[in-house]
Amino acid sequence: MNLVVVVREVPDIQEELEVAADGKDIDRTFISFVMNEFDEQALEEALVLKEEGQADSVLVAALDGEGVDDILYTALAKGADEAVKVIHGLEPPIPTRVRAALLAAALKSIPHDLIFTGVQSAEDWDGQLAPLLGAALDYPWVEVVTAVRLEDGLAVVEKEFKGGLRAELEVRLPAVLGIQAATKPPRYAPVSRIRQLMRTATLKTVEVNEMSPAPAAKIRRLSRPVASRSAEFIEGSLDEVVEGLLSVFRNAGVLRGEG
Amino acid sequence: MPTDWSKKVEKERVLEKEVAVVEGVELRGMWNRMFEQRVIWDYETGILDQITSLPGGESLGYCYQCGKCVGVCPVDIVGNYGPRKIYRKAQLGTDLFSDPDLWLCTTCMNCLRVCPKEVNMVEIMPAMRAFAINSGRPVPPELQKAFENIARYGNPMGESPRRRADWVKTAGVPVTVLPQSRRPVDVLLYVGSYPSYHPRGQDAARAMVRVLDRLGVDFGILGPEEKEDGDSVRMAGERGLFEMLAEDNIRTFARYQFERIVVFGPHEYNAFVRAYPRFAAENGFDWSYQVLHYTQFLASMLDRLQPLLVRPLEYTVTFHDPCYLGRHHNEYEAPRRLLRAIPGLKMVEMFRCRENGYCCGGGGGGMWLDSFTSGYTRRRLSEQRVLEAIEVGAEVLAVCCPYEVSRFEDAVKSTGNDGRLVVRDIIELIAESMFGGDTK
Ligand code: SF4
Ligand code: SF4
Repeated sequence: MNLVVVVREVPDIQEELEVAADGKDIDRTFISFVMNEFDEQALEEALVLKEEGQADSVLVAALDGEGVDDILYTALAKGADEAVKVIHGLEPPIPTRVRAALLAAALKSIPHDLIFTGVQSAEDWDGQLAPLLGAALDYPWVEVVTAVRLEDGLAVVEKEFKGGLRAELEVRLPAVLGIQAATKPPRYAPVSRIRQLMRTATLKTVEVNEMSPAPAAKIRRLSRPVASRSAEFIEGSLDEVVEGLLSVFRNAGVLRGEG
Repeated sequence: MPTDWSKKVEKERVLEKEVAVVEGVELRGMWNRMFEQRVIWDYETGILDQITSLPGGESLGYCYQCGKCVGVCPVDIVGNYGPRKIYRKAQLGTDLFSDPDLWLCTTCMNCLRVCPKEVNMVEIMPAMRAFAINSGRPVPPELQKAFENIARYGNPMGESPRRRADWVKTAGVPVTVLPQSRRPVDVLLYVGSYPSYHPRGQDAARAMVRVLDRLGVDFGILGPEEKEDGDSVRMAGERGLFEMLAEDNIRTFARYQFERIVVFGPHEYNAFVRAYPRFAAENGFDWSYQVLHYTQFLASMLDRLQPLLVRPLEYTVTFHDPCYLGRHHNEYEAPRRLLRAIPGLKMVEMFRCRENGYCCGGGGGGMWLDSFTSGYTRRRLSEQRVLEAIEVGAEVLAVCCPYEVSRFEDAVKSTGNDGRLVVRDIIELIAESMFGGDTK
């Protein structure tokens, strides 16, 4: 059973992001990149399955981009068996549809039984990679997955709906899963292991040349959110703050009487 | 090499006999135990062997359970942990590499001070933690976050490296930021992460540069190029991260011209006096800097400093010896000389002071394990210390380690002593006596 985890880079929001001069993207000159946090969850879930003996191998794959090498080495340090970088020649930002098409083409030469990816990513909150990848490969897909168990030829997954509702689904393999949360927090990658792998391990590459152009939304304008109403600060002693809060609740109609 | 005890123990002899004949002398059972191998060899020694075969872990094997460490271990005083217990647990087969006990030692060194067998937890614990981390055992989440932040941003809080010198803007005196001015200076002031970013640490940093400025010291800071020193990271077991930081810092230092390094914190002091020279020698870097803790630096110019301390501070002050300045480097006097130089100030000592000073809980990675550790102690180490300061009637708890101000201030609040005790860095008290201010 071979698991593939598709990961991507997102801008590190530690530094303030700026809108680029053309108004269509963030300014990518000075920012650095980190692994998308949902992809970290997806990777953790795959590694746990391998450790439990439910899967044989974990391969991480990412479209090439700034900071991607570091992300792949970190994934190897956490315990992934192989890392593949998909060379594509496109400039960021890459819309999810195009990502899915590129990855689907690359996955033709990567053996896989089950594909994991983060449910969404902080760069666009689009949340469509798992469905689009499933569609491109003609595999079943499930989004917002919070637990995975493997049984012969099937993945039994827990999916989260609104209001705490959960469903357990059986999915035929191969399939694509959009992971919301792993069963345990993402593990630590020791720096010495990352550094050692940077010296010794090689990242495999897969080149994707032909690709039928995927229809994708174009970004016309990017702007900062405008603050419309400022927040109200309740200050004073503990009693005054409590009284202030209560009156906010009362005025909002969520609390009645003297409460 | 782990010892194969099975070859050393003659199993058939591990029993109690009612009568034994030793060299022709008949001994009754009640006496003869000393002449037989003790039942202790029946224990599973695998874990102990694993620990003692780690570089740095050897001395755990020396423990003979005398219990001298029990009364001095700051964690044992508020909890149920100590070198004696660690040895005993290993003997009983507890997998200490996956046990909460792995993270409780603050490497305060008080056990080593009293241990007749020189069981050295300051080396054992980092070695065990390094093994656990590198073999993929789970790291407490708070510590993992601190490691990740330090690796990425050069500080445990995850603040922007570009804003590392922002505090300078409100210092009120000019500060040379070396990457900008590129001129040679006498003193490189290594600020450290907490004085750079923590609001109370920044108070101390501002006090420091005002005092240095008044003294006419020619100094500069590294600003955005400075990174966490990595000493506590090393003690917490992340050796690879320590090496990365040491390499970066050593390269940065080499780009600038200065005569000596003055550090804010005892952990940085330990890094630059002990760990960096060893690392540099092993990895072919140059390292030949004179390094001083700021209390040593200021105490060395006390003749110039004293006349500037004009405003009397009529406080009863007690001083908390930082483990990494006191026990680790035997410096007990410099901070006390500075405090005594402040007019009006009355010094009282706590019951546990100097060589037996109580640990604030921040060392050895404890700074980033507060909630984890509090699950295994009756009260936080910092809370214990604050109560000790109040017990001797102190109004001010004076410190000279940047980890401590925030730790103790939190502890003052959590023990319900707000208003009874204030926590001040010595440099803040000096600045107050020099320029005025409002400690109390
Ligand atoms: S003082 Fe040393 S020998 Fe005695 S119990 Fe503690 S660690 Fe063991
Ligand atoms: S170094 Fe300090 S905290 Fe650690 S075991 Fe020894 S006395 Fe206890």
